[in-house]
Amino acid sequence: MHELALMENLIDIIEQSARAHDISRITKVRIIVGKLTAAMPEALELAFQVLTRPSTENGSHGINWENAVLEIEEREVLAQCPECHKQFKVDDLSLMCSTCNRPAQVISGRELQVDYFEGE
Amino acid sequence: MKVIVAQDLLEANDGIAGRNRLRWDSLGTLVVNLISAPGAGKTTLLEQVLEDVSRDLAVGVIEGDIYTCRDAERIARLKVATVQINTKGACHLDAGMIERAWQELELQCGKRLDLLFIENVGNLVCPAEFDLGEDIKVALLSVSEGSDKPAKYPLVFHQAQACVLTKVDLLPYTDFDLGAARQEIFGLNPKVAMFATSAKTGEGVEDFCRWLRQQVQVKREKKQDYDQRQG
Repeated sequence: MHELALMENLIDIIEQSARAHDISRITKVRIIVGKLTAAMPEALELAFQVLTRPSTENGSHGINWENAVLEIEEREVLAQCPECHKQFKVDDLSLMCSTCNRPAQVISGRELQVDYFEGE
Repeated sequence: MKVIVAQDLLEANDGIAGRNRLRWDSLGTLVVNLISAPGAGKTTLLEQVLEDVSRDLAVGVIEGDIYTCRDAERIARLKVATVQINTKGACHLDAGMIERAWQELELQCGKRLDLLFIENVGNLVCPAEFDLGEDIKVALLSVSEGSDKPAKYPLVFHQAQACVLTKVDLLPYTDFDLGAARQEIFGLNPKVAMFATSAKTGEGVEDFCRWLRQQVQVKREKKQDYDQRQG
């Protein structure tokens, strides 16, 4: 359950950015999670709910998270062959290029990123 | 108002990991992060590896556990500089914990290390996500866990530079499919160095130690190149 640590980082990143933009209430957060990470969307959602629940501690930084929603975009695992440059979706856990039989590079699916947030 | 952030969730951790990496590069210390499920045999393999490599290399160990110092006590008996991290519930080590433990280890052993082992918290999932600044991740998989684990927990096997199958003396008593496990791991990670070991019979441990020594040598040469470029 390292998703809690990831969501603590998310809140830090967003609160810092919100203060820089004079935003005091967060309404929506969108993150990108690749399928080759060990982060589970359900666990991220749960951690987000727990950490943004109104409590005496929340709002101590002057940021209101009440009713903020988390949106998760999942990214498929894509690989590219260094030989023929063909890109292919990895769904059988094999990173070998079927044409050249060479190991391909993962080009997508390792993302754990904050995309944007909305607030006022 | 919409604010585009486009920032990695692990940015804070990765920043510290980068700092750790620079420090170990400048010292020429090879850093190995051992990751496996609980009970796969990390500490037992480490004990056997340390017996071998500490004969001619300066070695240190950072032990990560949720609670207790039992593993660190086992390693310290081998007269190897050891620092224990207790995460008190956290399921993984992060780069900040390692930075603090390293400061303590440096004070304790007071010499340049050739090789630093980090034994991560027993968990095949979360530790794979956190860069500690290491050169090498080693994924361990024991025969008693079953050969389906690489497919179920792909990230750690995808990232590892080496994969050590442990407890291979149990193969005759299980339905562990060695061929299928190897094929799955190579599929995820075609360049991985694979070792089959048994701490009970000692099989394969020497091969793994030989590979580690080669990596220590590579790291040393990198440092010499770097020093020469710096003039």
